Amino acid sequence: MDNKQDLEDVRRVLEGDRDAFEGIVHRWQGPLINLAFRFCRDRHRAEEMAQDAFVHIYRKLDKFHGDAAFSTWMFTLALNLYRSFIRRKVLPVEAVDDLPEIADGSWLQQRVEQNEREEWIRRAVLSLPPRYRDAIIIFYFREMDLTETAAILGVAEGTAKAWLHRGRELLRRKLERLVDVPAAIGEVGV
Amino acid sequence: MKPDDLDKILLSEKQIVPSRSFAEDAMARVRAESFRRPPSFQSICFAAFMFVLALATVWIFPSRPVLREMHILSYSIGKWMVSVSEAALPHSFLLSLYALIGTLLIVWLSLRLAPGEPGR
Repeated sequence: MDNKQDLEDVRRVLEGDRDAFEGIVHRWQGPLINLAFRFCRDRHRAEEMAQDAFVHIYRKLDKFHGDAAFSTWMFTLALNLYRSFIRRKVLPVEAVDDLPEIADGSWLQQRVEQNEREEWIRRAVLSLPPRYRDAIIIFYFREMDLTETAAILGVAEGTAKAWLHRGRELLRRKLERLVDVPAAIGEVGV
Repeated sequence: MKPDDLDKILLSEKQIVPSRSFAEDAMARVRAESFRRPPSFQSICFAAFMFVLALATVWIFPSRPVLREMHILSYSIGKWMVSVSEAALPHSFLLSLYALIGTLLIVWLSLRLAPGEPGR
């Protein structure tokens, strides 16, 4: 995405041209909705959250000083908003710990389709402690860019890396406790 | 589970395409937001004036029971402040001080709570 175009739109909005914000909305609607979706797993709710995020970003626009890329700053604001959103509302997060222990390792293969299996694993991320959950969501959302993940989370790269490591470890343990995931996951072709 | 497997699954998240009206709806909300102007300077002054007036009423006309109680309370606080500072501050000075603090509080709250244009 073009940071120059973002900066130009920000400048115009701050000078009073409110409609210049439309450029920002058009460019970033997809990413903000998709980030919200990873927190709520519901398309309509994700759109509501993204709209709230745009209003919030608009209000805070004068606080953007260009120290980081506009996208990084915007995702940080959105992340904070989404965090508070899922704190306030009870979302249908898969309670991995509450699921029954599965004796038969082929449970997943037998009961759900491949895409449902993957979706279940993504939902399991939401059951992690917040800091690990956020680190994992942002890391994969930004296509495994550790530097940007750390910037969005507002922590040092080392910290983000540690959170990711710990989060992935917790996730793997949760999944392995329930099913024979390697066999199931091995079939995934991406 | 191998780390690579987890990476693959978490990277292969389906992409949500925004609904057609999303951008329009978002901009409508932004426009509505910017129409919610913060209180003007005049209304802030008016609020401050009303506060001072209310304070003066409590201070000067403590006739009703509730007002009298408030008067006693505020006077006690004033007395305590005076005793703490060990300075014989005149009555009018304390009144002015309270009014100033109240005014600053109202202005600060107005600026903090007012939504509207970026940065307001």
